[in-house]
Amino acid sequence: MDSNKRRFLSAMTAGAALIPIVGVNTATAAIIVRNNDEEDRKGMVGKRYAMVVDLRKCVGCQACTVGCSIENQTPIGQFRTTVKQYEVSLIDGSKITKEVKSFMLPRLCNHCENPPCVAVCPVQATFQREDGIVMVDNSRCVACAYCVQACPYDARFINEETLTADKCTFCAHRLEKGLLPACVETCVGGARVIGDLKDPSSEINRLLTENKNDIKVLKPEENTLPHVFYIGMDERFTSHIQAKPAIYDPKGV
Amino acid sequence: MNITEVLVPAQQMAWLPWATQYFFFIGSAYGAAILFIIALIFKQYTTHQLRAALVLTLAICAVVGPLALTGDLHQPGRAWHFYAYLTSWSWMSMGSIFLPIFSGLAVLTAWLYLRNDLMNLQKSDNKVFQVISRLSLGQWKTCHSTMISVASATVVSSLSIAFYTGAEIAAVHARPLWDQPASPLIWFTTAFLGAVGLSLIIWLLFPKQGAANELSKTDIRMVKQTIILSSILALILIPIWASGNVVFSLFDNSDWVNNLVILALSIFSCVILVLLTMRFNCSRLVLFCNALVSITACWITRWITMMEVQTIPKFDAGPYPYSLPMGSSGLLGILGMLGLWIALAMLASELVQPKRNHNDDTTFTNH
Repeated sequence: MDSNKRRFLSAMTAGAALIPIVGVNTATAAIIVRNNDEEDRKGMVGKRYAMVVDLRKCVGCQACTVGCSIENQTPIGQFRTTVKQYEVSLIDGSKITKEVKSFMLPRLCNHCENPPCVAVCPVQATFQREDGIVMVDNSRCVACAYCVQACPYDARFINEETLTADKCTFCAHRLEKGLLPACVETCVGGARVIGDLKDPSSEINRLLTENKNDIKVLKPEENTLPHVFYIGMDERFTSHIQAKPAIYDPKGV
Repeated sequence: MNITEVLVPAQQMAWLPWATQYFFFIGSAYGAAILFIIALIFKQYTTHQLRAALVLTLAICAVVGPLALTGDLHQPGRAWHFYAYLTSWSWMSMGSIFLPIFSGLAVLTAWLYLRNDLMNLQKSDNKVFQVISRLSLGQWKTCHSTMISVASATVVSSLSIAFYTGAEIAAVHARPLWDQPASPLIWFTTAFLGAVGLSLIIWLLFPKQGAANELSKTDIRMVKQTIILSSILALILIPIWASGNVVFSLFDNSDWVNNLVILALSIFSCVILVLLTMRFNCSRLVLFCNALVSITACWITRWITMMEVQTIPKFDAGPYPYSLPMGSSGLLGILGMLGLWIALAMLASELVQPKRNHNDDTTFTNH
C-alpha cells in the first residue's frame, strides 16, 4: 500500500499549509500507515503472516521465552515474547478447599493490521511489510519511545543494549530462510502455529476454520486488528485483566 | 473468579524524567509568551522589570526545554533524523518543525525587548558588560509596532507548541488517561503556574536598587490572577481527568488516591498562599514562596500525569513499579536541567540593570 503517496496527495489537496489538519486526520487513525514504500521494506509480497496460539496446549514452560531470547539476543530481563502466568480460583461460596488453576498467556507482538505503533513513529523507522510483519529499522530509530507508548499490548520496549525500539519480528530472518520462528520451533506442546493467511491450504487457516467459534484476539475494542489469534481463551483475559497485582521481577532493584 | 498474576515481567518506563523536564520548561515558555504580550499591551500599567522577567523566562525555557527533549531520546545523536525523515502524520514530527521556530522566535523576542538594556550596558564600568552590550547590534531603537508584531508571532508559535505537545500525548489511544481532552487542558492551564513562578524567580534575581524596582499594582494583579485562575481551572480539571481511566478507577487504588491528593494539594496551596500572602504584602520572601509553590505545582502535575501514568499497565493488573534512578536518566537529569536554567537565569538577569528603568516605556519609538 502506497500510503505515503496517498498522504502526500491528501496534504497537497487540503493545502500543505494546513499541516495540523493532516495531523488531526492522523491522530484519529483514519488511514492505516505502513511506511513501506522502499523496496527493502516489502518483505514477502503475496503473503500475510499470522500466528495461532492454542492455549489448551500451552503448559507455561517458557521454552519460547528462552528460545526467543537466545535467537534474538535480547538483553537479560527484556523479552520479545514471554508467557504470562495467572492463578485462577472460582468464587462459588463453598467452604471446601478451593481448586486453583493456572492460566498461561503467551504474549508477543500482534502484528496488527492497523498498527498504532507505525502511525506515531516520527521518523518512519517502524514499518509494516506487505506480509504483515511489523518491523523496526533500528539504524533510523531515534528511540523516542513514542511507539512503546502507542502499543496497547506493551509488546515493545527500548532495548538496553541497542538503545532503540525493539519487538518481536515473527523471526522474519528465519521465515525468509524457510525456517520457523524460534518460539514456534521450541514450543513443547505445539501450541504456537505460524502461517500464511493468504494460503488457503495452510495449517493456520485450517486451525482458524476448525476453531472459528473459539478464536479470540487481545483487546479487540482497540480496533488494531491483531494477527495473533488465541484458541481456548477466556474472555476475562482478552482486555485489561481484573486481577490481583503480580509477583514482579523488578529490574535493577 | 479470582485472578492473581503470578509471573509478569514489569514493563520499564519508556519516557524518562527528561520528558517531564521538557514539558515543564516548554509549558512555562509558552505561558510566559502569552503573559508577556499581555504585559506589553498594557505597558503603561506594568513595569519593565516584570516584562523583562517574563521575556527572559520565555527565552531561557525555550532553550532549556528542547535540550531536555533531546535527553529523552535514547539516541540523542540521531535528532537530525527528525528532519531527514519528516512525517506529516506524526505529532512528534510536527513538533520537530514547530519547536525550533518557537525557540528562535522566543530568543528574538527577548533580544528585541532587551536591546535597550543591552545598549545601556555600554555605559557600565565593567568591561564584560561593555562587550555584552555589543549584542544589541547597533544603537537603533526597536519600534513598538515591531515589538508587538514579533511578540504576536511568538504567541502564535507558542500556541502551536501548546497544541502539539497536548495532541502528541493525547493521541496515545493506548493510555486512556492521556487519550482525553482533559489531559492537554490540564497541561495548558498549569503551564501558567510555571511561567509565573519562574518569572518571579528571575525578577528576584534582577539587581535591585530603591523603590523604583517594586512591582506595580497591575503587575501584582497579573501575577495573582494568573495563579488563581490557572489553579482553579486545574482543580476543576483534575477530577475530570482522573475519571477518564476506563479500565480501572484511580479512586479505588490507594497509591493513586495519594497521587491525586498530592496533585490537588500542590495546586490548591498556590491559591491559598496567594490569597493569604499577596493580598497584604509583596515582600521578596512572599514572592519567593509563591514562586516556589507555583513551580512545584506545575512540575508535580507533569510528573503525576506523565510519569506516574506510565506505571499503569495497559493489559495486566500491575502496577509496574518505578523508582527514580540517581543517574542521568533520573535525578541527575532533573537537577542538571534545573541547574542549567538557574545558571542561565542568573547570567541573563544581570542584563537588566536598575537605574535604567525610569524611562523604560520610552524604550520603543512610536511608529
